[in-house]
Amino acid sequence: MSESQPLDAADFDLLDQIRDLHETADPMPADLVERSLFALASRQLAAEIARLQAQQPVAARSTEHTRTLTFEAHSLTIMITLTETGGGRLRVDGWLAPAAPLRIELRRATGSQTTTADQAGRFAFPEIEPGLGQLLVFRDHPHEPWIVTPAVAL
Amino acid sequence: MTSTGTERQAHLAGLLERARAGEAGALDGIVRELTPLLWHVTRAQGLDTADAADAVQTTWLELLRALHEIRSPHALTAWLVTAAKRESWRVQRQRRQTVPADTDDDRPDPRPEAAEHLIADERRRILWNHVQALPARCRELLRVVAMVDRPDYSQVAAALGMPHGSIGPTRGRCLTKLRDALLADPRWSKP
Repeated sequence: MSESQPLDAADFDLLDQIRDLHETADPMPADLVERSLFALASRQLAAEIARLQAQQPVAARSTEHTRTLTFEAHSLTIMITLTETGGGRLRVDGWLAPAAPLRIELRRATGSQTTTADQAGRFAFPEIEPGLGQLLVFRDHPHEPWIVTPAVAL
Repeated sequence: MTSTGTERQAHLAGLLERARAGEAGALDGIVRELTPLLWHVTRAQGLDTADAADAVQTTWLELLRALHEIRSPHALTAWLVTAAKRESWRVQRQRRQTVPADTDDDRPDPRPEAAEHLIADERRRILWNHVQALPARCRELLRVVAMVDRPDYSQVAAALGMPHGSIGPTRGRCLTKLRDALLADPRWSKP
């Protein structure tokens, strides 16, 4: 068997079998396409993408049913805390760092909510339904976001 | 398989052209076609399932910003594979910095050993075991190359550092190793 030969039919057949094995052993999550489509649906060419950081386990406070998500871009960190408010609904409290009074949109499958952070960088969406959500932060442009996050399950 | 790959290429080429012209639904079509490939790229880089899903999504967001510079479906696939690898490295760098070594999380993450029971068929399990016995770099390369359509091989193989002959990608060290191992295994080579 020579390494420098072009791929032959047996190689392709083997690769097909390897593909099949990986698709069986480690299938992609059923909602991955949906999440990707949701994140792209705004078609917003943001200047920057804020990436989701490792989720902090809030074990000590788990009885309060809160969850904190941190998104980091070069020029901005967005932290949100999700708190269950009963009736299956959630409250979102957020901070921007460095603090700036910027407009923030929470995109949902069902529509969008918009708010503006205060001088300390704090913002809130008092009542949302659980489900996919994406944050967009606006600075210079009223319609083109400065920063977008990936879509995450809220 | 080859003809299927070629048809898919033509389909992707059409989608890419329409996406570049700004047609929203065309980009969705590309996402549906190529998300499985990106999943296996990020998983082959060693990301856990949650990180891999995020990295795939971020790669799509990055594509949105680079769409104007990608002109062919081969280039699209190669660009996506490279971007997903780079995104995976970024996640891993960041995890090493922030996660203390002793707090291994318990998110489900099918390791090779765990996956074995999913493969019931004897012959497929033999192949799986031989693939797992390859060096890590070969496992990663074959996993990604196996997910790529034939017409994309040249450019993706180049993006992955696979050897390239005058008329296209060559078998290379990894496939040669695997085929030699299979040939030497009486359970595999018996008719």
